[in-house]
Amino acid sequence: MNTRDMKNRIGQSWVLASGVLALGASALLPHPAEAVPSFAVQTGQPCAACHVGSFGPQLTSFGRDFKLFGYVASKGKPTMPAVSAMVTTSFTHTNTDQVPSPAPWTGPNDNLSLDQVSLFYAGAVIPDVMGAFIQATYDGVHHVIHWDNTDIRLSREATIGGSDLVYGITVNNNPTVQDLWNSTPAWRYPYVQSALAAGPAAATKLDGSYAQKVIGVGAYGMLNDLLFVEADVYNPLNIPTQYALGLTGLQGSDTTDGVIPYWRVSLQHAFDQGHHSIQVGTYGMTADIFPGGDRSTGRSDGYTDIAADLNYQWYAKPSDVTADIASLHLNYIHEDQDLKASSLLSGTNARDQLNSFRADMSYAVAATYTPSVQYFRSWGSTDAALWSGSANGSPNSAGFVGEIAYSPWGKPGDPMTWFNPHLTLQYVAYTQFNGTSQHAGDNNTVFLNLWFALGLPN
Amino acid sequence: MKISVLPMATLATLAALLLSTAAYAGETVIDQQAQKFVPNAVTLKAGDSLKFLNSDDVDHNVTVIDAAGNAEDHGIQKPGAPIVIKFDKPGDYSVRCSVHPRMKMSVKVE
Repeated sequence: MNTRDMKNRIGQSWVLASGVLALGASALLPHPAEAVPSFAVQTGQPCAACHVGSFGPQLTSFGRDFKLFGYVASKGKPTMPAVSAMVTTSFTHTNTDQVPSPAPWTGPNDNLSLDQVSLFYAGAVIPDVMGAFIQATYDGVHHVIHWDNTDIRLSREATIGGSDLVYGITVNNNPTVQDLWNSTPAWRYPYVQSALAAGPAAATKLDGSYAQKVIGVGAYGMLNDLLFVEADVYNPLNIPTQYALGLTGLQGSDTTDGVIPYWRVSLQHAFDQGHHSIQVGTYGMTADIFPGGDRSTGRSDGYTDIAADLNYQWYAKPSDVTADIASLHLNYIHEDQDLKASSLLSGTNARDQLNSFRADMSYAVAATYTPSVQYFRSWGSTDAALWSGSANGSPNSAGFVGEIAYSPWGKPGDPMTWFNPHLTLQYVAYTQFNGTSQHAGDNNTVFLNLWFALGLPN
Repeated sequence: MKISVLPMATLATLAALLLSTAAYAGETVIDQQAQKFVPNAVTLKAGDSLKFLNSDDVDHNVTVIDAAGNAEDHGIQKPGAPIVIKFDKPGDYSVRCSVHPRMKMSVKVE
């Protein structure tokens, strides 16, 4: 075997591995989902004040402000540390049995699982100045403990020419985990998904590829509660560090050439005495990647992601946190892939594109029952070498999510601000799956999730 | 001797009205509604008071900050429970809710 053959073999191997990993990652990594009673204990506010439907992570206007101002708002001096926990358990049924089974310990279908047990530090670190949201998770599907979403913020206020400015610094480990709106990938709908059902293989780099595998610092400012601007720089964690943090990095995984810049610009406006809140924005990032960590070509693949999003919320009665809330989120991501290295290593196209679009609506009734629906679609260039997990080299997938969520507590007058249960019944229906409409419905999923969030009583 | 009840009642009512007017002459009502102070700017005379209502269904806090940055925290205010704060010294003040960072108002005392 000559050197070129060996490189081709290595390239084919990593493409296959990356395809399988992408499929596995999207299928088996639970979608991040957080609700932290220590915030409720710190502020004296019920969960419904910050979260639509009395449960995270969808934020209300006040929830966004609490995050913007650095997680420090408080009802007074805390008497307990800002520690919380959550437990999620679920039942998953897919239209057809999965072969092989989704995890070594499961059957091919109708699986019960303990999905996550998480511990959080969530609250003020330095009163009025610095706060943090830090999560560590036991992943019950893969039986590992790992570093999870983290956002540490330092926030201040100023007045410039009569205009109010809230500005600050964020240190975080997942591009968009620091974002205020629920259209962006880290906190988007559906807020909880099955860890044991297959999902589409193709995802843009913005859509969770770097979750917990980077550390970044950014500066942000919100002028007059209207214009939000943020710029961050992320540095990828090396593979040994990822191992040490319990992440699923593998030898041969992609490595990044240099840092990853991220940007965010957004306009928001509340009107009609708080009955309506609307936001439009754009965000994006660029990354240069050595595929499979292979630097032998001396070239890297370039990825440029540009996204646009819109959020709208209607509040039936802004002075009542248990009044009905309707929400709409739209998100579009376009990714240009300049595959200078992959085309040499494994014969991919020289350039590809990948797009994703999501639109979801929900209506929270009395902060207790929240029905919701989403349309999702991803589409892009056909590239058999890149999308090896696809039947025909196409990354295209599309479908719908329908859900009803139930939160009995988390409202004013409830006996325990430090404990909140949440029940979700969800159905995912695919019209297209990994490039084909044939048998797409085989992946349709019924998902029943029971989620508990608890903190320390103050 | 027969005493007329009507003039006595009239006098009592007038006295009560006078006393009542005297008690509330320097009091301005501020509502906390949909996480806003309404109104969000007032001018008072030294010795006047602000009466803060809470029409929301969640707790608020009233913290008064003077021009030098000295803060006086009046604690948590439950829904429906008013707080009355007297402003004795002339000056410019801001009022904040420590729970809801967007809630702020200005108070000028002459």
